[in-house]
Amino acid sequence: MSGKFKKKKEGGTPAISTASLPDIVFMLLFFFMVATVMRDTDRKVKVVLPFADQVQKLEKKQLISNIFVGVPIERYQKKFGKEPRIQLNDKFATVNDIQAFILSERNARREELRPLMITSIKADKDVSMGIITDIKEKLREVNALKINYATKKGDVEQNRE
Amino acid sequence: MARRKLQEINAGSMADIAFLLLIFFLVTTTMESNYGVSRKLPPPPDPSFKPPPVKERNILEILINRNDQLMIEDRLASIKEIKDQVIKHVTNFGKDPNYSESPEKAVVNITHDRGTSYKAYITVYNEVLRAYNEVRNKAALEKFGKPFDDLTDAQKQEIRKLYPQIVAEATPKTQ
Repeated sequence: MSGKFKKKKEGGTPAISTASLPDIVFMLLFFFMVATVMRDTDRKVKVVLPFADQVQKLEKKQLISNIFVGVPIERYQKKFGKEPRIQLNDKFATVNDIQAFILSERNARREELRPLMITSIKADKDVSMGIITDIKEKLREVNALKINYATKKGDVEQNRE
Repeated sequence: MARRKLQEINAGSMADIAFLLLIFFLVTTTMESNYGVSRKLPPPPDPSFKPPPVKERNILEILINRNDQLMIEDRLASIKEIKDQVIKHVTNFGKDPNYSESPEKAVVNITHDRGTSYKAYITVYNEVLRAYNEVRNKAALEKFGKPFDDLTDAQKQEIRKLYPQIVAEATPKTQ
């Protein structure tokens, strides 16, 4: 009998079991894997997107080619000046490089996906429309007609600031 | 020979490995999601193609100058007016002689200068889209009793046919 009701010899608090810690961390890991996307390119131009609320979400990342437009970030301002520039992939480019860029993007996709490709123009809110018009003109010439102006979701009133 | 008992793998370092992976993903990925306003550009101009004549009343002219000031049909306007003007223009059905004859013929023309800022253009374009979305939503509610976004693709197509979105953009004059 005495064995059954033996008193615990050691007092104090028992150690917290850490056996479920891996599960918790894995859960976090999976959350981040699902909810985020890989950072693709180094931004060399500063892009603050304008706001709009009649937006659509672009789902298929593989169909999108990005064109960045904005003022070069400080590191590159000595070389490239403070005028808005175009960035394609990792490099600074001019309007005349756009067609070659679109053609190479097109060649990188499977044939059945090519008509569905979308060109996303990610331009800073303060650039002038001149450069955007030039880009659109070039896109028209290579028949890349589906475009998307990247915006942040929000009230347009915020564009005034 | 005595059989050795199968030893259990120590899972104590599992958490460390998972943390390592977690931190890797935290650093290399971004939360950004792609939102934006879509637009389809007109195909490249064919030199032999002559645009069909469009009656003056069917065009709603929106002009943005280089100081981001706005003009609708030759008078100064504010951004808030765009939506109402576009809705009035599209759903006129020939009543007012200054607005369109029918929704299929209604054209919204946005003209901007090379110096117009991108945010002003996006703001205006967003307002025009808002007007069209509102008109289509109303039509969807009347016809199918559901908002436009909940319709099937065929139903959406039908509404789109009723109220096609014809937004033209004039090539800005050089300086």
